Amino acid sequence: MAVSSIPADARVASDIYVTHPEKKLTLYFVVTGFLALLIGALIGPLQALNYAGINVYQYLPFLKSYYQGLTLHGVLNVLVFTTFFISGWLLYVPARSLNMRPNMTFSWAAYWVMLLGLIMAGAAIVTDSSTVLYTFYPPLQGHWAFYLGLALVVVGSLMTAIEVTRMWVVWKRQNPGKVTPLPAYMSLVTWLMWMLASLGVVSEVLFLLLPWSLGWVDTVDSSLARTLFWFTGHPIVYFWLLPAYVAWYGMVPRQTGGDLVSDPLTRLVFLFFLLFSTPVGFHHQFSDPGITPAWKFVHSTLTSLVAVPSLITAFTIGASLEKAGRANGGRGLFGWIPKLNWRSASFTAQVLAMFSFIFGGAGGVVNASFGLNAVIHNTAWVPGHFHLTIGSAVTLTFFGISFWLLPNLTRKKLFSNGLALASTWLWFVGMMIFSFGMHWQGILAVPRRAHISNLAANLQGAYADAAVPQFLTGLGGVILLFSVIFYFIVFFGTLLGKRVHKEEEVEIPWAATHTLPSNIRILKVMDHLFIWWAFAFFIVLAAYGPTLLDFILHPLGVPGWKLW
Amino acid sequence: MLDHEKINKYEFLWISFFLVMAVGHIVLIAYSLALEGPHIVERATRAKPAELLASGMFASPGVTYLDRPARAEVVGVAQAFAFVPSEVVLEKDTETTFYLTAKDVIHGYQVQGTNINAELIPGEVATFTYSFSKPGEYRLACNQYCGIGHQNMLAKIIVVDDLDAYREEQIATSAPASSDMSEMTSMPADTAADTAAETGADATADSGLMASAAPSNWHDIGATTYSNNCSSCHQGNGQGIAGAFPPLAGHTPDLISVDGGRDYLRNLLLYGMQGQIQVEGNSYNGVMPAWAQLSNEQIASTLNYVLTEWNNEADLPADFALFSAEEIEEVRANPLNGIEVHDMRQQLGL
Repeated sequence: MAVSSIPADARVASDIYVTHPEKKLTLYFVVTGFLALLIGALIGPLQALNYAGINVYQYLPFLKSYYQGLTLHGVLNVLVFTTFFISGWLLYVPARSLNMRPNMTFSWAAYWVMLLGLIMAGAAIVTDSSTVLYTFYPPLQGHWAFYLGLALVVVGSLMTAIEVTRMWVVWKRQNPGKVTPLPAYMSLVTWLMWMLASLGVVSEVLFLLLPWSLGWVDTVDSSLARTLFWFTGHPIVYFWLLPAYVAWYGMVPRQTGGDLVSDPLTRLVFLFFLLFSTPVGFHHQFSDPGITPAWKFVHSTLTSLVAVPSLITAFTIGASLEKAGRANGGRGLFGWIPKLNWRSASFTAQVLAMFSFIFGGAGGVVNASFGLNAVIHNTAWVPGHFHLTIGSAVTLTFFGISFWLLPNLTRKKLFSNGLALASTWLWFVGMMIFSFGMHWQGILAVPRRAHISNLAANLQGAYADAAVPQFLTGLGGVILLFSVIFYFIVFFGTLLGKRVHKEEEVEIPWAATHTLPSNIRILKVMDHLFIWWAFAFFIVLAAYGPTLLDFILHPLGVPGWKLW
Repeated sequence: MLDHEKINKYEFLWISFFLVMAVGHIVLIAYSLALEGPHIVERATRAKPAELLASGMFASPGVTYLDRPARAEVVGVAQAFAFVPSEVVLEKDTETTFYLTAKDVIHGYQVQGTNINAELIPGEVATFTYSFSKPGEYRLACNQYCGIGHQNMLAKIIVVDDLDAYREEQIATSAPASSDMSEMTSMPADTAADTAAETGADATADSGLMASAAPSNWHDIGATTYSNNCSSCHQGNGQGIAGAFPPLAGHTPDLISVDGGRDYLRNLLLYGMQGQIQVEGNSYNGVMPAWAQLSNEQIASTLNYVLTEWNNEADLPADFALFSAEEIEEVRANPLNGIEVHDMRQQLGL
């Protein structure tokens, strides 16, 4: 396999993709992801209005039901937008960080596999054959094309994971004794974590859902399916979050004129995620009868451990920003904050993302608390929570990245920093109001995923006590609609703009890092990533093994239903 | 200046603080579970849904008192899109053990204002214990997406200070002459609540229909039973939801008019139906739940209600006779499953 660093004569080529062909592929991944988000995010306000008690679905010819719209919204936003964006972002960052060229044939194949999957799953959803929501719990039974399509999206992402790992192995061989550069390290650990995490849902689809939806078997074990889903379902949120951390650690300090205060601590954070992201899935199943309270408690405890790296991140990033703000003249306890680069839409989006994550993370701790979970499980609190985490912390960060990445990949200018800033602030404010309303509704036991604006006549007024938070939810949704419109004006404006000269090209804003010489040995220990992966695998085996074995040895198949 | 020594110091303090918090978090969770653990959902047993529902406790869901007033049992079934029983009456401060299962797909079971929140998975029997300390009406909602009628899957848990006093009050305010009244204490709570909802509006059969064996007051019993059990799918106006739930308005007279229709209707209400049907040009492929847990009175009254309401009365055949409770009882001797009832419908030639 010919993978090499950039040949000297290529630097004079005028075509931007000759020296970096991975730029074009990254662009395809990122743009496809954002196009999916465009559709998914436009459905969002309709749902927010539903949770404000306003039913617009009766007027929409293109959606058969709220639930079909919800399936589309969930799948396009958290499965398609995320996986496509991340496959581009975390192919590009390690390639540039290691100064290596990916195997373009294999990497493009990953894209086409994912696109095929998207088309299959999309067609299945749009024809209302698979209105099963993005969690697709059996025995609700969708079309086989839905499951196969989503499986292909995951398989494609795993192909990118393999390619990044392969690049790293070659780099290590070519650079004996050297520690992996930080951006590549973070990217690789994310992929290694995902390779372990995805085993659950891939098994669920391959062994349970596909044979069943294809009609080869008559029944499906819904407890086993659910457990395998959440095996992946929890760590997938870190598959979404860690790429955002790559930007927070790897670029944001530079974007405000500073640097990253600690390299080793950053690597430690990512190792924590590698070890503890996956063996915690039972905290989504505290209310399931088939898992013993003892194992639920074990997972609850491990979840407390996976909260630690995010708390460390808050410190390291906060310290890096504070150092930059003070170097820029900030005095007093909070005087460094106004001295940050708030005029940059990219910087602002990512810092607003960090701020919203404070609340998202706090809510997450509630969700993981075994006893307290019973108050909010499956209520509106849950989407309130995740619109702050994936919906704000991750999505706003991806917005922020796109404000420099799209110019970098296309050699064009950001269409309008002002409009980009507006979309960012509107997204942040809209999401905070929306999420506040949903959290509150959840405490009032309003269920999630329910078409509550369309209650039967005898049930009208069932949620009358939630009138105030319902108003807030609706208001948030309307604000978000404007944010989406502004963002995509910037997005298309940038893509369709004029190319600029090579000298004006936006460079990747790599942040410099610090490591004390005494810590170099620790960096080398942390570089043995296959060994750390093995540790992670054994922790998962211990945390999941007995329960999964019990389900597998005592299968209970139930028939499927199509109830929409 | 924020230099590295300062940063290292704060780093150490911050991380230590949160490691202590993490440990504290775990300890407090363990402590709270030790004190309040009984509300945690566990598995009572596991078997195929058809087996679970055919015999044993799930054949007749409802409330049973073991040790009045200290202990009780609630046996419940979740199905698309209703809870059976749809109303549970409990006395406060009674340690109640719940045994719950789902008939078709995964449903949720959450009681507002309490720690009750269970995931009901077909094949699994979930159990937990709870004691209500405050009287009142508690909303029970399905909080796991289960299909097109998910949002309508609501029910009630009524907690009273004194169960005997509550029942006396129900008897006093309900209409007379239902023969099931004397069995009220052991019937599912549906019966008590349904008849209690009557307000004495004009009750007897109108327009000269033969009312010889029909339950007296069938209109009120039927209207209440329909409202509590049927309207979330078939809607209060009998129009159903196109593609999801068939209309009854303008349709039920067609069913009673064909040969075998009367028998079909009795079985349909008792045993439910599943399989694709065509009604007025629309295709339906859902599930009609079984309602065998309702009384013969209620089923007969509901059939009479849906056959006469919404102007259906004008389209009934001349020799139409109202359903009686005895007619429903006859059919209980030969239980069918939803597919067999569907076959019955196919043979009607509709």
